[in-house]
Amino acid sequence: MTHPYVFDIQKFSVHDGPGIRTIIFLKGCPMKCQWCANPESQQSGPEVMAHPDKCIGCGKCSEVCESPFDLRGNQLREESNCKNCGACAKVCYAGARTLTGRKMTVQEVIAEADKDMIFYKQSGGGVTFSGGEAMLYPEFVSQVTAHYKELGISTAVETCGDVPWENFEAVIPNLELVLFDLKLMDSRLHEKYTGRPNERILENLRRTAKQVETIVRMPIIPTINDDDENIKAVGTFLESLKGKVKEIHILPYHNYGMSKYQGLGKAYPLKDLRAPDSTHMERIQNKLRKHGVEVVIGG
Amino acid sequence: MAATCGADINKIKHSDWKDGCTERINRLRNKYFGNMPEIDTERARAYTKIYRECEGDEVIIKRAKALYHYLETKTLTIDEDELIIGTDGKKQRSVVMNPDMCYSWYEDELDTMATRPQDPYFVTEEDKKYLREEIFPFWRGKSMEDWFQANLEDDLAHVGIGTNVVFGDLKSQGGAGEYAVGYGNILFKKGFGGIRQEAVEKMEALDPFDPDSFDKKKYYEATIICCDAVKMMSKRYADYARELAGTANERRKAELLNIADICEKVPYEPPETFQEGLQFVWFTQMFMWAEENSNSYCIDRPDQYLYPLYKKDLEAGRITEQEALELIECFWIKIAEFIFTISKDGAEFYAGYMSFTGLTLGGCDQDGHDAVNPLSYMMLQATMDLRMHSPTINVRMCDETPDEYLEKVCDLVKLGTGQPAIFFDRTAIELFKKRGLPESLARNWCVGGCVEPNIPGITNMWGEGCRYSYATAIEWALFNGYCKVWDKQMGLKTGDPRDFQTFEEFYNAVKAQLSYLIKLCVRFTQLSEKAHMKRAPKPVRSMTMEGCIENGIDCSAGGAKYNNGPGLEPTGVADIADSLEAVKKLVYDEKKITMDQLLTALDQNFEGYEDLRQMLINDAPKYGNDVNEADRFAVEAVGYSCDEAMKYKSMHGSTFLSGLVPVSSNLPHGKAIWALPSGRKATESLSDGLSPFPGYDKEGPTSVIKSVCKVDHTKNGVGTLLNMKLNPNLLKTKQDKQNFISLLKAENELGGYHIQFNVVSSDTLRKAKAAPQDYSDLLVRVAGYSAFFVELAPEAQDAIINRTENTAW
Repeated sequence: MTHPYVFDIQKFSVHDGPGIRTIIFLKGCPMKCQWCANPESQQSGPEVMAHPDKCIGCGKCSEVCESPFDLRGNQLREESNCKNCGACAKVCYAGARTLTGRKMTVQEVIAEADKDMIFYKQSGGGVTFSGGEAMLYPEFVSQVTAHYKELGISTAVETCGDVPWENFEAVIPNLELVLFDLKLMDSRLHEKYTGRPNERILENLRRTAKQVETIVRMPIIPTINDDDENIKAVGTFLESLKGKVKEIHILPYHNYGMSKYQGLGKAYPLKDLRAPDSTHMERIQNKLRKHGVEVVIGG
Repeated sequence: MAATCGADINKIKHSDWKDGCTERINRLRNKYFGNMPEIDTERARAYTKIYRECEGDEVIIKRAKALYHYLETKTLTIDEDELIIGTDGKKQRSVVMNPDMCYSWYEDELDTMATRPQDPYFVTEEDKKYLREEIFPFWRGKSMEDWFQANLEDDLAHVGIGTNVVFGDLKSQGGAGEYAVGYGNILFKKGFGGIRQEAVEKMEALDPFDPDSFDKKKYYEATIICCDAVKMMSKRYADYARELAGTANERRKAELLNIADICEKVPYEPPETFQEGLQFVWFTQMFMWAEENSNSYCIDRPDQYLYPLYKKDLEAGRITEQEALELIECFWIKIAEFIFTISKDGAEFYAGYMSFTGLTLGGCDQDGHDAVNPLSYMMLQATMDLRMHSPTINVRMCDETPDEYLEKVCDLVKLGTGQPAIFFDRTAIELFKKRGLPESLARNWCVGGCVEPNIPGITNMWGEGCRYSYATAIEWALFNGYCKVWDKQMGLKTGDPRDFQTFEEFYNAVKAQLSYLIKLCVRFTQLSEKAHMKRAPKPVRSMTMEGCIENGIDCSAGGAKYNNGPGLEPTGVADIADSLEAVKKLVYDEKKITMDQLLTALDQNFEGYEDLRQMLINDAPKYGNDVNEADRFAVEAVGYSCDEAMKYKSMHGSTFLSGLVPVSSNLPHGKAIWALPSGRKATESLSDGLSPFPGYDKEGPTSVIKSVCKVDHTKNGVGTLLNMKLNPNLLKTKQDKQNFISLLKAENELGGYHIQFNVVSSDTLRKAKAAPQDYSDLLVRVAGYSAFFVELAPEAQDAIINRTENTAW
């Protein structure tokens, strides 16, 4: 079994499935969406990230780095040189350089998520896998979710959908809910903005919705996927699922992830894009509603 | 006039609340804000006169006569909109002085109290002159504080007077406080007439040859004088209301005549209608405050003892729900008017004109079943309508508390006024059972103070006997008993920690210092008890609890049936837990740093050692993240301090108790404490109560609750306090509400005692700090109570901004 790198375990999450939940974020994603808010989730291995605002200028990182660089004065890492060995993060007490991603076993993940068991029970919440793309690790995810399913605790996966159907088949029996991302209906544009075409995604969504409760989630990225044509296509597609998907959550684009790009030494592709305002979101909500689905802003 | 933290209070505009409130309530509310707290010397004059004339009398008789004279001569004020009438002092928001208890700080601060940054009091030049010429000279040597100071031993004064290390003289300057008045079990049944009757009978039955009979006789005589005093006072108000009715319009005339009839009757006789019940409670509160200006004279469980009256009125068609709600709101404003008079230093603890006149709603009944009734809802609604800092609303939650009621609680929390505080019956009832009280009594518990558990009319407790901080034990263990801020030896010499070979040795030094601190606090508290016994017997307070009348002994002399505590109130659980864990892990287990390096960095307040400070912060687990390594020390430190306190006895033979009730003491304590291994810098604020250190809790509210509930709350006889700040976005939808309720239910199950929320974004708070005039009505939770944010001193504002805000929801 492939042990994924976990880059975050977030307790008390209330927007990714019912009740109070713990979200387990796994590293590695087949897509590379330009608006991705978690760029540290894209590569499957550990990555060094810089948090320049925390730097106290002690210089210990440059002392231990194999490919020397100068970090004093809050300089960012240079992507080209970094081997992501993490030596700098180990000596950075201030947390200005961190190594993102920790290999965890099924037992370790369960032990952490079990801590909030009483809150899951009281609220009807549970555990949600997210990423990156959690469905890249079907065996791992199904072992953890099987544990919770057996205890009667809610289980969910948030997915981009771009994985072989076999992966879904392995995990779905243990799931109560799938949060399925949908971005662009035109495959060519989909590939342009995410790096991948969408045929397999749509097919997986169709099949998933037949087998397990599915909520579609769609980020609204101004000028990229908020045009009438795309919204209409999304609505028509959901309609074609014949009531299998009852709810779509539309999530307004935000650029909170921008500093993470800087921290990883990556360029942020959409730096001039502004977040959609609430009137715009409501307009889209109304358009989608005409296709007979429940539309929630935020999620 | 006085400026408050940058904003001139007179320029602050308070907008009308239209939703829910009647026009009358809006007017009363606006008038409240227009009334600047002002020094009132009427009581001082009356007490001085009687003490001068009756010098030969027993203290308790002198005090009863003085009380009578004060109530006989005090100026009466009735506002044209009031339905519940009477003011503590000569008018609304009077700052009543008790020079008989303490005059020293008034003398010191007379010229600065109107401009002090926190909670200023206006004072006229005429009163200043009178105080300087007549009042202060008379009381020199005679006040309660004088007795305390005269008998204070040097070693205590060295650590606990004016140092901020230990606050030893809290109870030497004012009322006894922290008490829940027995409205339900005693007063509503008997009225003060009934109590007077009992006192007369008991006095007549005394055996004159019994050597105790002299003291008992004096006690009963004083009780009788006081009962007569309250009857006379309410009669004066009745006459005055009638007089005003003569010139009032028809509508007001009817109101005033009704008020007059009510005042003829209560509180001497038991109330028979809802309005009589509320007026009864208000007169009784005034009566008790006339005896001594005191914080935390809490009003029991009003939804329980008033409900039969409300129900009867409703059934008889005498009242509508809307009228009852308006009466409750009139009463709420009355409670908010009361000023707990305190010095400049005192105001750092009780920032925001806070008197802790609290009340408790909901919970279970005598049989352990849900006790929520329509008044429980209406009293929350009144609080929502008014959005004021007082009364302090406490909600009890039991296993059967309906979700519908908890949703109402959530609606109030959502307003972001910091109200209400939520308490868990399971833990509270268990806490009393452990003290040996029967479950049937414990089920009637209520909050009597900030979070202090009391059984109204049954337990007599001083919650706040003395204050110290856990962080002091760490500092003294690190520096061999030396206090760096004051630059002098204060603690025990437990040795140079560089010589400690194991963590256990260090830990033992911390425990030794903690034990020493507790011993000092016990002696301070016992001395304060003695001072009250000698100089401030309390016949009025004594009437409102079981035991005193039966025994013929004043409560200050131990007459209560159940003397509980007194309590010691440490703060800074997170500071001690995080410091111990950092030393254990980094110095002893992993040996990443030496004790010498640590001491050097601390000595320099981390200047030049920022990397080491960051290691202390980030490489050792912190309390509040549901990580056992750090939480363990919180559990142990709290348990240890409770056990230590419980080794000692009060002047009345009851066992000392401990509790985590910080008020805002974490700020002043912090000023006296040097840098800590937790990474906190010298003189910065400490953590409050049981809450994690600001910014150190990274895992969100569920983990905080888990960590906090590892501590044995039932051991903390004085209660515990947890502050949590939530982003307003977390309480928007129906699902959010459900999650909020789940959080409460989980804490109940995990054995928590208390939780309170600040639901204001830190952005809003920052804006309010910058532009106070635009945020005049912004209420925030300080600690165990709410205050208007713009009325807090800048440091207190910063402490609230810094409290970790949970945004994940």
